Formats: sequence, structure tokens, C-alpha cells
Amino acid sequence: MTFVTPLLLLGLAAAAIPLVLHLLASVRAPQEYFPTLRFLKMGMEKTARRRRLEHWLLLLIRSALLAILATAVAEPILKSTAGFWADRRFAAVIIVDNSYSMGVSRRGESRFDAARREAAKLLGGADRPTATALILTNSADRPEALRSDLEGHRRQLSQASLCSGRAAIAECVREALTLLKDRTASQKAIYIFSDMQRISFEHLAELKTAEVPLMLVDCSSAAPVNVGIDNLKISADRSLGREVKFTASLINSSPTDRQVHVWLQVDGNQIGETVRKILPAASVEGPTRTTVRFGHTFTSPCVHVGQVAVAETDDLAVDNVRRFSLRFGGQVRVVLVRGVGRSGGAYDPADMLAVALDSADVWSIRRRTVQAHRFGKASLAGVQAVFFADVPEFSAAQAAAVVEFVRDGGSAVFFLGPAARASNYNERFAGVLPGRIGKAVGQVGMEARGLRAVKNLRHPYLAGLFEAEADYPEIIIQRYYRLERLTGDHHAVLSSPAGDPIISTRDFGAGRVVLATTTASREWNNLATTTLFLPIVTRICLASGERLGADNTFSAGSAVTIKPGVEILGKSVLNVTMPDGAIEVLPLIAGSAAVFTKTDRPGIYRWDVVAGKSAGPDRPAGAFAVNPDGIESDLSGIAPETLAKTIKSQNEGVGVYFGGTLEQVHAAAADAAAGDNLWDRLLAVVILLLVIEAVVANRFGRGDKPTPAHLNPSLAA
Amino acid sequence: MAKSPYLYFEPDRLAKFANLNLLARQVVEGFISGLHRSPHKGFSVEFSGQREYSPGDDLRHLDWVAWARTDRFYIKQYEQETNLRAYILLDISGSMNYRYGGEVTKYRYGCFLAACLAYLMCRQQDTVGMVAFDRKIRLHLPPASTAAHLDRLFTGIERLKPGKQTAIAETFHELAERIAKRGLIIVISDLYDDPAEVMRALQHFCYKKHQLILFHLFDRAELEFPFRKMTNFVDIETGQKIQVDPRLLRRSYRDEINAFIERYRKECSDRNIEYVTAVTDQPYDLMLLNYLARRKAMVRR
Repeated sequence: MTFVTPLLLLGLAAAAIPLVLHLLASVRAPQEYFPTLRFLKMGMEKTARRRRLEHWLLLLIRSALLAILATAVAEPILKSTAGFWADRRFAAVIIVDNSYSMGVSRRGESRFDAARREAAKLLGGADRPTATALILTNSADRPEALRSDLEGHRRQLSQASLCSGRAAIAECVREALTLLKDRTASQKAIYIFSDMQRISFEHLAELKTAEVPLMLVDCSSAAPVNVGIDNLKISADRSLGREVKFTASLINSSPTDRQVHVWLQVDGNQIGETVRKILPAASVEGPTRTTVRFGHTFTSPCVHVGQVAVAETDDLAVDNVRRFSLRFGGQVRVVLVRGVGRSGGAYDPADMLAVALDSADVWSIRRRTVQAHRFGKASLAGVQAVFFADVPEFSAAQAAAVVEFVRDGGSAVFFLGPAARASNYNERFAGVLPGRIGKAVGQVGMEARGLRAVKNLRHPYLAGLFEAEADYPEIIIQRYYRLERLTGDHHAVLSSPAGDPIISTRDFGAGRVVLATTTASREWNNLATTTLFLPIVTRICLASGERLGADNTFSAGSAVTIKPGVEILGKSVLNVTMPDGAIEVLPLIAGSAAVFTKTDRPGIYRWDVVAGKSAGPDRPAGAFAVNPDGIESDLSGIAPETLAKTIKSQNEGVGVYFGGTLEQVHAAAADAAAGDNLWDRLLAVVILLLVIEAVVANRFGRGDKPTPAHLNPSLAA
Repeated sequence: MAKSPYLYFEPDRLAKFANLNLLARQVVEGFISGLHRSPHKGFSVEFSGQREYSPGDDLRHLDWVAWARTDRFYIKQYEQETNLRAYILLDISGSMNYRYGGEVTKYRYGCFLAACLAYLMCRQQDTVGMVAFDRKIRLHLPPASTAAHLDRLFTGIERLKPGKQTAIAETFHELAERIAKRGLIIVISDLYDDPAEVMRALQHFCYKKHQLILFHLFDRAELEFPFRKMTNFVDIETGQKIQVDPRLLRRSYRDEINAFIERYRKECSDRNIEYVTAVTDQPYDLMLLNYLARRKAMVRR
């Protein structure tokens, strides 16, 4: 019910006037002397019950009279939802937002619970549709048509759960319009049960809703209190013995400033101190953000799992933790590209590299050698590192394949030599190499003097190989290519006393380039015959493996390909243990990979091969982490009024109704319908009450007997 | 016109009654011959009627003419004219001291009425006594008809003051025992006492062969109950208070007081007592004139 002039409802206060007058009259009653009270008492005794009844009846009538009069002049308009849907075939599509933001919980009830409750009301209420379709925004299952099995929808609702990712309401509405398009129902509507998260409603206003009314049930009861981690970046240089940097992005959607404590945990142990951060309150522009950085040095080659977490609890728990899984070690596949063939064992750089690569543990490095003229893009398939041993020159295709390989995370290791044409290298790998290759300097031969290479013992390739610096062998370099125009981001492993890099690294794209400006053989130096050569080659390979696919962290809902890394012979089966302890059994496709799709639940998933014969000494096992989509941590909402206004501006004539509950939405829809003004009927009631009041108030006089004749002087005369 | 020296006596008003005599409705025993008839029949000067002869009757009063006409024996009867012996009983209780909007209280109205009646009766050689009472008798003047007596009577009335509570029945019983000779008893009161007790007391007078006239006085407000606002009513005699909304109680009040009056009227009629209601907004001379005219007509019938 609404009122034309609701201000006049203030007149309802007038209903208290009769009561106030009655109380005042009782308090301020005048005193009157009278000869005898006997007749008053007798009258009171006889009429006590009737007078009390009449008294209250009159009071009630007079109060009601004023109240109804005040209501009548305010012109009440009665609008009923029954008139909107009654006796009609009513088709509706119900869209329920089941993104993670609907997990915001207050007083034990989440937004998703509220959405399900309100949707269930629609399915079970008096105004329930005759045919419906239920769309869960973050579910892959989509209805193909409307059906009248409302019980089935109710069951589906009760079993629904939250899923990661943005709720694409606009997409769902488009599907709903398609479903409703061919229906012949006299009344159609699209119900949206959502928390009005801004990102969920992008592009909705651009839709042409074909005059199907949108009923928005806003399930976000109040502004949420939430600080979440919407992203966790892990530094690309993830090598054993080097510090890995973790950068967590914190987001505050709360209406107040929030102080939080954030900490890093690796393999179940807290790393370092808890960091305290204060995030300002969210504003109309959106939530506020800040970052927190942690560092940790991994030392063992295995799968490490951990998390960055916010210690404080808030309304949305799912984004308080950001998990990760990093793999250090594992078998690295390497391609050795043989350049100019040389015989002579220690004077053949390819042979020297082959020996170094093959000397590593069988699990660690797997080498394959190709001739330079046969090298191509196909050679790099499934490979983490490629070694070029004095390759004279590269074709454009070869160079492009190498650059792409490095950009995608691979490691390209160039050992130059007498055959290498610097100009070709500079041309093909401009911007990729740590610097421009200049002229070769130095003399070779028994008589020639060499340079004592300066070792960078802090570099991961050299760090920790020996206990003391003096224990490191001396590297003599007789000839090398001088590097010019060095890039600022290169790191020297070995260099000349004059500072010319002998072995240097540069990260490019997701991968790394290692450039040795001298030979991998004894021809120009003694490196290959020292105890440093093998560890350097091995570390180059292992670092490549850590980078490629080492970050086993995925978004919830995505398909994860699990590769044991070694070929599993025979019938092979993989067990995946989910965060809640449930185990899922997967067959390995061709013994090498399995695809796991049930990643709806954030957490750490562990896998291990439980059947089949491994080519290696141990059964492969691993883990991966699943995180919610960070975008859901941005809880800033859009006001239903604003959304409705925008939609109406794009779709003239379409009805957009909103409210916190289904009833409010229906009431809003009913408001839009023509109402029934009760003014005249209430006025009739007022007149009737006036008559009743007059009758009740005057019934004393009506029954009065006339004054007896003997008391009437005129009659007596 | 010379002003009266008495508060409750206004000769100009009484001029209206100059050609009227107060006639007792019944035959009253008296000592002074006058217009009043004696109840002692058989030897007086005025023929009253005849009755059938009974053995032992005095043959001197045998009506021979009737015997000649009817061949039956009748005895002649006679009445003796006598003067009236009257008592005026005036109620001066607290309830009589009430007026609402009018000019006079019931008490003052009763005093005027008593003075007028006393003067009228004295003027026709009847003896009149005066009793004023509330719970007790406050003034008692034995009957007499002299001018000096009338002066004492007027002065006595003037000195009276309204009293407190009423004990009408007790006072009447006492007076019925004290007034030895039968006569005319005129009661002026609002009769606010137990009606049954009052009627028993009046019956006591009747038993003593007195003729009774009852002037029942009211203020108009007592009859109409004209109040409108919520009011705290205070009993004049007892001081008791009661809060009443007159609009809600008027009807029942008027029913009750009408029943009260009707009860007196009926019971007085049954006991051959003249019952006259008087309202204080009605001029007392006019009220008295009306009453005497009506009474005269009744006597002549």
C-alpha cells in the first residue's frame, strides 16, 4: 500500500486526542455540591457495565474516526501482486549467482544461503511460475529449456555450491532471454538473485531485454567486512639456494579501515615474521589495495607447498589464504646442438658438454643431441634447455625458434668457439643476448698466457659448491669474445679481470639466456677440465627445469594436466587427494599425463602414481595448489537503483524491479501496476463511524422520559 | 408599599390569597367555630346526612319525613363547624440548602412557604404551630392564632439556619407522639431519607387521625441533571465525593429520581395524604395559588 500524500499520515497522531481529552477531563474535573448522591450511586450501580462499554466504544469510535480520516486524506493506494500474476501462465528464468563473493557470511547466513532461500520462496510461493529454468552463474551446466518441474529446481538449488570466477550475469540474462523467446506464456520474467557485485553486472545494461522484466533480488544485506589476497606473485628466478620472492596483493572492501597481519607458510612452517598492514576503508571508487612481500630460499629439490594468509577473520573466508605449489628439481630434458664437428675429445665442445650432461643423475637430466643443420623448432618440443656448442651460425627460423623457446621459459646456453660468427649471432639474437658479441681476444697455445677468471661466488651456478673460496679451482681463459654494449640486467658468473663477462646470464621472457664467450672445450680455456664445469652445466639445467612448469598453482575450476615426468609403463593409475581428504582416481593417458577437472575447492591437491611400472627408481608424486579467482575479492557493489536506471535508459519500457527480498521485488512490481485509491471507501467508513458515534453518544437522551406533569409548573397551572 | 419587617413574609404576595380560605379536606376537630366542619356528628347545627335506624338510637333524631316517604326509619346526622389546628413541619437539613442557577435555595423556598401558610391560617382564625428539624427538632412553637404568636413564628423562622444531616423518619415519629390532638400536618421537605421509613412515619400521623399535606421541594437541577462535563459531585450533607461523567449517567439518574417521586406520590395517594411537588424556579406564591385553587375545587365537589 502506498499513499499519494504520505505526509498527511502525521494526522494519525490525532487518534490519540480522544484519549488525551478523556485523561485530561478526569484530572481536571470540577467540583459540584449536590443534595444527595444516592441517585447517582444507584444509577452507577445499575449501569456500570453498560457505561464502561459505551465509554470505551465511544473512545474507540472517535479514535478510529480520526485515524481513518487521516488515512483517507493521505489517499492510500492499494496495489496487489496478485493482480500482476494471478490466473496467468507465468514463465520465469531464475539466475542464481554462485560466485565466491556470495560466500560473504553475516550472522551465520551467507549471501548464497539468502539467495537460495529467496529463490526457493519463488518456487514454492503463491506467485510461483508455471515453467522455470534455473541458471547458476558459475556452473557449466546450462538448462536447455524451461520446465515445470519446480521440485527439481528446488533440489538443484539445495545442492548447488559456490564456484570460482566472476559471475557473468549479462551472459546468463542473454541465455535466459533465449530460453524465454519461444515461450508462449502471457507473463515472463527473469529473476536474478545476486549480491550485486559490480564486476558481475558488467555489460548487462547493453542487453536488449525484449521487454522481459528483470527482478533483482539483492542478497547483500550489508556492506561486507573483508580483506582478501587477490593475487600472489612469485619471482621468476626460482632456483635452489636463491631467495624466491612472494608478493601478495591485499584488497580491502570494508567500509572501515582494517589492520591485518599477514604471514608466509612453507611446507607447514611459518617463514619469517608476521607483517602488519593497515588498509584504508573502501571508497566509492572501489576497494583499497596494498602489497606485502616475503622471501624464502628453497634448498631441497622437491615439491614445496605453502600459503600466504591473513590472520584476521572476516565475512569472506575463502580469500584470506593464497596457496602455492612450487617444484624444485625433477628431470630436465636437454637438447645439445653440435656445431662444427671436431675430433679430439677434450677439444670437442659438444663432447665435453655431453659428458657433463650425462654425468648427472638419470632422474635429473636427459640429453639428446642434434646436428646444427638439423636443429629446428621441433627439436625444442618437450625440452627445458638447449645447449649450443660452437654453432657457427643460425638461420632466421632457427633463431626465431630459440627466441620463442626462451620467451616461453626455456633456457638457451650458447658456448662460442672459433667457428662462431659473431655478426650472425648479433643479428639473429639482438636484444636477447646479455650483450653484443665483439672480437675474440687472447692467444691460445702452450706459450700463450691466460687470464685468471674472476668467479662470482654469489651466483647460483657457483654458490655453495665448496666450503671456502680458496677451494674453488682456478679458471684460466686464453681466448674469449669480448662483449660490448652489455644489457643492464645481465649477471656474470665468470668474468675476466678486466670485467669482460666470460659466462653471463640474462633472463628473457619467462626463460633465460646463458652466454659463454669462450669454448666448452680445452681449446680456449681450462674450464671444461675443472671441477666447476660439471656443476655449472648441471645447475643451468636444473634451474631450467624449476622454471618450466614449476609453479603448479591454478585457479579453481580450471583443468589441471598432471605429468609424472617419467614414462609409466603398463596400466597406470593416478590418485589425487583433494583438500577435504577425498581421493579421486585418474587413469594416466599413454602413461604420461592425466587431466584433473574437479578443482572447484580451493586448497592443496596431492597426487601420486599408484599403479604401473615407473621407468625411474621412485614412484612419481607431486602436488598442486588451487586458489579462488582473485577478482572475487573485489566486493564493491553496484546500487540496484543505478543499475535499474542504466538498464531502463538502454531498454525503454522494460521493467526493472529490485529489493532485498522477493516480497519487496514483487511489491515494487506491483507498485508499477495501477493501484486502487481507497480514499472514497475510507471516507464512507468515516461517515458511517460519525453516524455510529452520534447514535452511541446520544442514546441517553433518546430514552429520557418527559418531566412528570406534577413537576411542570405550566402543566400544573 | 411598606416593606415587611420579616425576611420570609411578603404581604404583597399574600394579597393574592385574600379571598381564599384554607379548607381542610376532611372534617377536622377544632375548638373555634369557623368554616371548618367538626367530625362530631349528631348534635350540631348543620345537617350532614341520614343513616338507617338501629335499635338504641335516640328517637329525637328520627327523620319522620323520610319515614313518611319510604316507610323506613332513618336517623338524621349533623356536623359541627370547628376551627383548624395545624402544624407546619419544615425540613432545614443540609440538602435543603441547595440551589443550582436559581435564585433561592430549597431551604429559603420552604421558609417562604411556611410563613405564607402560617399567615393564611392565622388570618382565618385557625391555630398554627411550627416545627423546624434536621436530625433533631430545632424549633417548636405550639399552635396559636394570635398576632403575637404569628410574630414569634416569623421571628423563629428567620433565626433558623440550615443544619447538617437529616433524620426525617425519627423526627416524625417523635412529633406524632408529641402532638396529642389531631389536626392538619403540613410537611415541607425534600424527603431525602429512606422512603419506606418516611412513609412509615407519615403513616404514624395518619394513625393519630391527622390530615397530612406534603410539600416535596426540588431544585430544577435535581430533576433535570443538566451537568455536561466530567464532575466531582460532593454530597452536601456527608461530604462524600464521587466522579461522574453526567452525559453517561443522566438517563439513569433521571429514571431514579422520577421513580423516587412516583413512589411518594403513589404511597401518599394510598394513605390519603396530599402530595404536592414544588420546584424552586417556580414562584412560591404562584405555586401556592395553584394548589389552593385546586384544593378548593376538590372540596366543593
